[in-house]
Amino acid sequence: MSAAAVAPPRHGRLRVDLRATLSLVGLIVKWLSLALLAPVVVALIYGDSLRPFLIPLVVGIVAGFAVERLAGRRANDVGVREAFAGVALTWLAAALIGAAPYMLDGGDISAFVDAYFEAMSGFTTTGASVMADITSHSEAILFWRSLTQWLGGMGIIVLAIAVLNQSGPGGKALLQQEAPGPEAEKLTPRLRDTAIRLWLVYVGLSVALAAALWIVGLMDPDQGMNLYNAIAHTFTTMSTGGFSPEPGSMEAFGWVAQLLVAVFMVIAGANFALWYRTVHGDLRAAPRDGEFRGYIAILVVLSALVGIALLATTEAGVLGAFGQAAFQVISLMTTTGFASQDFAVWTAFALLILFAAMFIGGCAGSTSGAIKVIRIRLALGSARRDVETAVHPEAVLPVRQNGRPVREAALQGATAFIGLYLVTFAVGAALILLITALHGFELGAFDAMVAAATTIGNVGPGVGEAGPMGSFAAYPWEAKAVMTFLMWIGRLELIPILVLATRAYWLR
Amino acid sequence: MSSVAHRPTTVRLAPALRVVGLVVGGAGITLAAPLAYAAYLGEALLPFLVPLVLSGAVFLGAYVAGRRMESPNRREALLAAVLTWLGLSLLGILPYVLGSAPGGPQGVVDAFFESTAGFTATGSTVITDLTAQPRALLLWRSQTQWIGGIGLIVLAVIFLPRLAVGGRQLIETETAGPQLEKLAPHLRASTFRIVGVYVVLTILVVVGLATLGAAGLAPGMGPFEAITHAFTTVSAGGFSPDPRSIEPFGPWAQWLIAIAIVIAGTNLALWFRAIVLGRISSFKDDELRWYLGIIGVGAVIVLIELVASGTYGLGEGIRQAFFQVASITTGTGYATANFARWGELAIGTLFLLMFVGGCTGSPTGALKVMRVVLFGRMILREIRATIHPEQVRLIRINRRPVNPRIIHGVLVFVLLYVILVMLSGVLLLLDPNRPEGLNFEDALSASAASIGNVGPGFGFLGPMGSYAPFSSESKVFLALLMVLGRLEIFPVLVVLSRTFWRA
Repeated sequence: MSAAAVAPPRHGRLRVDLRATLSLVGLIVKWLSLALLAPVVVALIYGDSLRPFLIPLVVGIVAGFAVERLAGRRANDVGVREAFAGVALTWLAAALIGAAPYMLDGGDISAFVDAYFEAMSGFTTTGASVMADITSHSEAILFWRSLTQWLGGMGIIVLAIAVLNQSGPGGKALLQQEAPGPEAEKLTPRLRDTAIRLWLVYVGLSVALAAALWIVGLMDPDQGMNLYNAIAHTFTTMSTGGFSPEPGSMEAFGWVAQLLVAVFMVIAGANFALWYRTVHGDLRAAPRDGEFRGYIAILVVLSALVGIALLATTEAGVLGAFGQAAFQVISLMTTTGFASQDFAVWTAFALLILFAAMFIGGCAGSTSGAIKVIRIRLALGSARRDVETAVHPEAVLPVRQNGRPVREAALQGATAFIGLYLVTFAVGAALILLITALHGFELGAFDAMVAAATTIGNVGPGVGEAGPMGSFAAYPWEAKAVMTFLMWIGRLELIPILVLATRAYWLR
Repeated sequence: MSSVAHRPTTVRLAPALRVVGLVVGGAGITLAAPLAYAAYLGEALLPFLVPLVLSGAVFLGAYVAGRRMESPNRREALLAAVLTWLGLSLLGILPYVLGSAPGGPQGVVDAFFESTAGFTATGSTVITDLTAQPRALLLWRSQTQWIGGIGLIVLAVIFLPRLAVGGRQLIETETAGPQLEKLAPHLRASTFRIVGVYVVLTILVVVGLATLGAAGLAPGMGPFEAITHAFTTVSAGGFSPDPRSIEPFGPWAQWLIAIAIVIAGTNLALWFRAIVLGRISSFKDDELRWYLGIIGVGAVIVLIELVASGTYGLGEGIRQAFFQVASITTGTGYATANFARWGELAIGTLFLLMFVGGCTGSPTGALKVMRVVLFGRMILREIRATIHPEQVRLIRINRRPVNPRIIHGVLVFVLLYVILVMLSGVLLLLDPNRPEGLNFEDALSASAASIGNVGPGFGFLGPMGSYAPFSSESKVFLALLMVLGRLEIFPVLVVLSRTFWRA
């Protein structure tokens, strides 16, 4: 009643439920560790050491269980706010599990920075590598490396929602933060059903590709496309990851395998909701979609440009030039990063087009990274509208997408995202350039920009000695740390991470 | 009833060309100044006489032929603005082709480049031997930048706000301002006022520099140097008749010019309000604060690099860093040292500052501080908005909320600008006849310096270097980029759009 009874305004009260967040992280770590059983099987078949997998398997399960218990098993209390921190932490923790086998195996990436880089590159489906010599690693390690990309492709959280049915009030937000693109599409009213369906399409397409590659390998045994390679490349094609157990990437295989992989990269770079509808009989779902059409159009135009450049500057015939060009454009624009040739030695024109393709990315709701076609379409649409309103100031012109007017907030969000993406990229490139300069490591501005673009876009290969047949092994460790950060922030599309740096998130 | 008075507005060429003729002809008449100077020095008169007579004829022709003509409508005015800059660049070709000595822009392409770098106040040059050029020609060269500065003020106050693109509407609220802040009832009047500040500032710089020269504090600063440098300081142009730019004139002149550059990069309308209308509070301006802050922070970063690398001591380092940061941020392009040889951190900072530009309502180029600030705030808001998507947070400038459409326009403009710089840098690299050893950084600096109307770049394009090694195609391309940057991109896109030409 009296004035003294009124509670003083509480400043600095934490608004984020850390216990719920940690419960979620612990829960996911616990289950994700089980994925280490797969390389154990491979190690048994090939007679590799089991130790690098069994130790993190046990430790991961115990640690995940312990964290979940200590935090009070409240994963179901995850709300919208907790979703941001939860997703960010889950991905950091997943990369820890991913890094453990590399460290325990004692190969050329056993240093923590290297192992964590490789693991983050895996889960974020980047495909950038610090392995100086791929052939020195065991089949089981390389299998694990490809598997991390497959798991990260459709999303760890989406998998958790589908399998564990763990989604509190923040479930939608969780899905939203992890799914690539501005808005996660609702296939069904129930969140878990959506997650299950997305994963089913993903698994189905993966099985189809693996079977096809295996059959190709059986028909032409000289190529080296055995069951192991078929599965490993399926993992990294469907996830647009790009790791290959072969040091020569896709160059090691014949044109049939390359064609198959190219087609499935295009599929993986498109919205999976479209494939779900296609499977359910709506065969025109993809061709009708504006974003998909734009995506295909960009692929065709860029491939043609690179093809002409190759035709003019190399000995390749028409089919060879355009084939190689299309494979490489598809690989880099869908942010996969496979190489069918060492494109780092191509002419400057082709290289610059490929560099530009790294920024574009695939469609929303795909496994690809970078900016995404939809955002570019929306930004171009608003630029075009600005030109139109300059001529007709009185006209009200909505920007349309698939015939429907787009909300102004969504337009602003798309342009702001591109701005933020370019700023983050520029800061990353500047840091990489400064760090390498301080180490007396002669890296040109272009190489530094490619290193930043390839990691923030989750593409993979760089240029120079970090080209598709090389690796980032020689880069200073601080530069590797910056690139690891860029992969992480790029996979989660910047904002969920950056929001954690604001006061408003924690306190207000 | 339904077909009521919707008169189709088509674009007629005649009224647009009339404006172009009047402006370009009018600008050509100022050739009288270098003509008189050439007569005084006994240099060749023909290079100025021929274009002077020609532009006099154009001016009269446009005036007489257009007396009964309707005044241009909105679209025609826009077309006129775009064509005027091209017309000015073409006019400027003649004096160079007719009058330059070896080592100067003797060919048509070189002359076009130099002329465009003048009228757009960019300040990049293809001249490799400045000392050999006639003095009257160097006066004209500096004069083109000063005229270009006036042109920009007119463009920025009258044309661009009408377009309502790229967030340029802001300048309208700035100069014509609502209620209390009303600068003048008509835009025409406010244009005159800004131009007035511009002229007064020019005179002050001339007097200041000449006084320093007469007092023996600035070696080599005679009346000719004082006038030419004042022309290119106030317009943020950057041409200097001296091959070593501002380096030879000593610290006093350098400080004076540095301060004048900073003033030229502010919103000139503020000075009118503060001094003529007596409202000192006008200086409490968000954009001004950010502008000074950016220059301050930039100078400190460059200073750290200069001192840490042992290039200069603290005292000289402060002057060098401040001068260079002010010169590059405002897009002037003067140099007091060959900054192209400084360390990575300094060059990187200067490169970023090339994108910033001065305030709205100044004769500077590039993005403008206001857009940079709005871009930053917009992105921060987008991050914060993820927590409370339902809360609409207004972005304010000088405590007034900014219309969301304007902010979105700014965002689109900044993206377009950055992408254009990248693409143009790539195109320069793809020129089969590009100069030997042109690397990615140099090419990017060339495109950023041209679109931002800065002038010098890095590498061999540095302040003591020249753009002469580029091929003719690249030079024309760079000159067109300068025009594109000066017009703030959108007007050119609009004129090239299909909607523009349809009824």
